[in-house]
Amino acid sequence: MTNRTSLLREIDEISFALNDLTLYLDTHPDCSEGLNEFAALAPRRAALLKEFSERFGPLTTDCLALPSMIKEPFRWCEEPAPWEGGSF
Amino acid sequence: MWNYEKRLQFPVRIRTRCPKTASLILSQFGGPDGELAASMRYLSQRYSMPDRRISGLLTDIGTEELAHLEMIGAILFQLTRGMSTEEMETAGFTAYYIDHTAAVWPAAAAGIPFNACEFQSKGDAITDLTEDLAAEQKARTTYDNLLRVIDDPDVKAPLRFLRAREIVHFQRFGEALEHLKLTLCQKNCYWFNPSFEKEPETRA
Repeated sequence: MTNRTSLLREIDEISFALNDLTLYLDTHPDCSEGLNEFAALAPRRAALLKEFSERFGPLTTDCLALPSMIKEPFRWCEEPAPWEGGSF
Repeated sequence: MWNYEKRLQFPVRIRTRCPKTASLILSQFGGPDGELAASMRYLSQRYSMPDRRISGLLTDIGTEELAHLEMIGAILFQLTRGMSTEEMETAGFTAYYIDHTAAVWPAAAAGIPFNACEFQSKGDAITDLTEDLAAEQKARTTYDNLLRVIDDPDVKAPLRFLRAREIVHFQRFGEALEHLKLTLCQKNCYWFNPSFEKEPETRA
């Protein structure tokens, strides 16, 4: 089991790769290598976001709609804000 | 439409408070070449950008700049959290404190409030993209200047990340400009007003 910091780091890294690839593909829409990389990373990010939400709280409001997350209290504002430091 | 993701694009964990450093980095929040100006520049320019690929790029880079604004806000917050009046006075932070306490407010390092005159949205694709290329370089220079005068590795790590992003954005805007030139009328050899000079019914 990875802890909160290392799981978040993994999400940060894969999300950064996807963000950077998006900008690259904006100006290189016909690059099959870039498209394949994008397609390979995107499902992994979705799975990591789901795992993080269930274990440590939601990172997006879409995560709040996961069946496992529909329970009281509404947790969107309960977790620390990302600018607080700590394990962010 | 935007959705918030509750994490920073790159982590900010600063262990040593330093209002002096905060007063310098404030410029990247609300200064002339800061992240707020960057985001507003691209998100304003995209409506009149005639090429769909480039207006999409402006949306994506303008969105990333908002994430950078949040990182700079996190740095400012952590550098000033819990500061004493003595620390404030030593750091020359008192004047800012009188108006804003320890809140984050967009201004330049020299104290000038954020101003939309710091960027342009000109409605000419070549003009706007050329401004964007310069803007990325100006922001990169500001990060170079900050990295020269700041020693704390906790502060330098996110600043280095942000500096590298300026270089990538410059590269992407350069590709966008080359793409735009290829799609222009070849008779327009001085590359001016490619969208507005078209006949109205053929405007993209």
